[in-house]
Amino acid sequence: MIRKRVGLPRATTALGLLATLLLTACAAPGTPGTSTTGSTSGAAPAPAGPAGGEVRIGTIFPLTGNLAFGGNESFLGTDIAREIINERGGIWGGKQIVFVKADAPDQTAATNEMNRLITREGVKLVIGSFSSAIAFTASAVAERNQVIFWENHGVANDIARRGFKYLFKTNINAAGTGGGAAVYARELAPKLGLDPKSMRVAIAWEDGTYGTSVGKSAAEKAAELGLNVVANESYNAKATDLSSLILKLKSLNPDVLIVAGIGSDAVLFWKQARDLNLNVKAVVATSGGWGVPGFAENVGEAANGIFSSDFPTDVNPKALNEAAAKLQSEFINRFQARTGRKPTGNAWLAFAGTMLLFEHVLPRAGAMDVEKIREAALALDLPLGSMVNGYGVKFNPPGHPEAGLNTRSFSVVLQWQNGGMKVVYPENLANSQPIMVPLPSWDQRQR
Amino acid sequence: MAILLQLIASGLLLGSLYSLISVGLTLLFGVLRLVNFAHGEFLMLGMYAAYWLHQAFGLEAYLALFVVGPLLFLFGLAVYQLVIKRTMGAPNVARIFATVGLAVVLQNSALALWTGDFRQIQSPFASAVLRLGEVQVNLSLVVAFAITTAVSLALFAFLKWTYIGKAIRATAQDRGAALLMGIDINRVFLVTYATGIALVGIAGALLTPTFAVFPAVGANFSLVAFVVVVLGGMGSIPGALLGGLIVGLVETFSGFYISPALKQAFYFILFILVLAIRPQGLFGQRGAEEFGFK
Repeated sequence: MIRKRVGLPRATTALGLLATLLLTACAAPGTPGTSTTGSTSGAAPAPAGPAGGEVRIGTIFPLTGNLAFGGNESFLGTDIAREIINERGGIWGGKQIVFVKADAPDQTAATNEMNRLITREGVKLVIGSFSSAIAFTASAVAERNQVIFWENHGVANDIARRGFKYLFKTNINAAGTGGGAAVYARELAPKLGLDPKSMRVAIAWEDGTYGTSVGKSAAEKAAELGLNVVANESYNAKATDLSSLILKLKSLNPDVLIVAGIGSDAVLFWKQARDLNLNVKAVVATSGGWGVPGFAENVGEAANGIFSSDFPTDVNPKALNEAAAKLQSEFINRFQARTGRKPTGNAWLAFAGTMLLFEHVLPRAGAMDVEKIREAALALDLPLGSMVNGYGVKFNPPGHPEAGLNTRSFSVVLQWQNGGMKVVYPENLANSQPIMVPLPSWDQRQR
Repeated sequence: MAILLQLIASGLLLGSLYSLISVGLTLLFGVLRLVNFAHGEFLMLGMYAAYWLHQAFGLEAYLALFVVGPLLFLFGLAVYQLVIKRTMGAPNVARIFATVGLAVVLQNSALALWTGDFRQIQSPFASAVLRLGEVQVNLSLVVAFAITTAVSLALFAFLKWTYIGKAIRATAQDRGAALLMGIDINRVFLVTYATGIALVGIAGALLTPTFAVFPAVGANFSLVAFVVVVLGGMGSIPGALLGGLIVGLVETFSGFYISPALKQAFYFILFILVLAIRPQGLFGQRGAEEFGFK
């Protein structure tokens, strides 16, 4: 009797749980926070789409979490490329491209999501990823499974130094943005009336995969150029306070500050620099959190004058070939239509890299065959100005220490002017002149 | 000397922020024996509320808190009735899962509603810097310090002299005896939970002039809050206040004199030392750290 009374509620609960599990397994094949765009959901990954058929390509970006601002911007650039290609009639005889989206806010999620994309969704090509940390982890999973990983963003040097066969990185390395910052600091010396050898340079970087690589490259290049580096400090991007770092830098009296921040830490850094009166003559940031719209939105006019050794954005169209120049304005229009503002560095990278894949690599490969796609990518030899952001294409072949890296990528120097970013260096790509050299002190600025 | 004063000022101001965030957490632990893993997310909600109030009405943080506090109090009431109440008698593991689940839901709802972009209030008040001799401090942090002190005194007065405050203290001391004395425990839990949430909401409002708000911002602060609560003694409000100041000072000093890269390591080292030498924290009761496991 008693056994029955206790047994029934337990049985019901067990059945209820089982039913819930079955329901969720059928209804939601991914972990929370992911979705599939346009592709069939459920256990069977076979596409059964419209008449022309579908091409299923995976995407992995941090769409949630600390890096969501960058992940979403990057995904948008990727998606606009897909939109344009599909409108032109798709690829491989009219097949429409559909994205199988994955959200990876951190490295653990990246591993899980890549496994899901590869084993459950059966994709053979994944585009990513905005974050160096995610690129590093996700591409390793792809390599193990012989799936192509098309990385348009991650700058950490180590990403393309592992001898991977299936990784293609269209973007420049940390050596480019980090080293570029040191090069530009050197360029600024005469403009600031300082001797490059005695000019005091401070380098600060966030201690994640991204910042460490960029900071190291900046320090190495600075040493190579014979610059006087007075500080080389790291900090945690998630720190709730940077005042001890700012005070430490302040005590060393730097002339130029080179800084690698990844997200909202850039905003916190600059605000606390103002609060604690850290005055430098120039700030050369290295993209990341210093080069996104959120930065200027959140620090206001204090952003103006800051340089960023960054990825090329809307470069001077004269530096592009005709097709790329037309694509440049098309991208700006579509991006503006979707968001009401102009695209930033990562959106450009995403768009340029994905268009390259969709226009030049996949058609040449002819089918979703990993080896054919690899061959098509390695065979590319396009001069500078071919991609919509000014890049050319020539991937390092397998066997090269940086296999898979696009050697015809480069960094430029942007500068915040009037709340927007302009290209100021090098001359042939510039669409504006540098301003506010040297930076006014906080007292001189309107607070 | 100037540097030393500056470090002390910065450390104390930072510490007072930590204190205010932690007071709510320690209250929840002391009375409800609840480890609120969603604490950072409520902080984030308070920050967003203050941000939107500023965007819509131009309210500065020190005024917005009068709206954010009651708003989050009401929200806390709702969350208690819907979620926490049902876990009050459950094993600790279930309660932890409930608050973790709540954290995930809140964070992702914020992301869905407001996107991942980080937002910062810009106003003369948020940018104002106070200079006292060689020391520079952000005015909004000084105001936050003053408000934290006022709120703590108000909380102390509330707990000491009002009926419900005494009921709360009684429940914290001995739940069973409080029941026997005719105290409505459920009401005590309800009010305490809502108060704890209101407190962290006010802390969030005070953070907005300095920190950008985005859905995941709470996680960064809740970790520090846990350190402060354990350091000060779980359930002890003076402990949370003092603990916060200590952590702020340790962080700032170690960051300057040793290395900015290691400053968090230092307050965690302090945390480990406290746990090893005096596990109940500075002001906690011996055995408090094991509540929920017995």
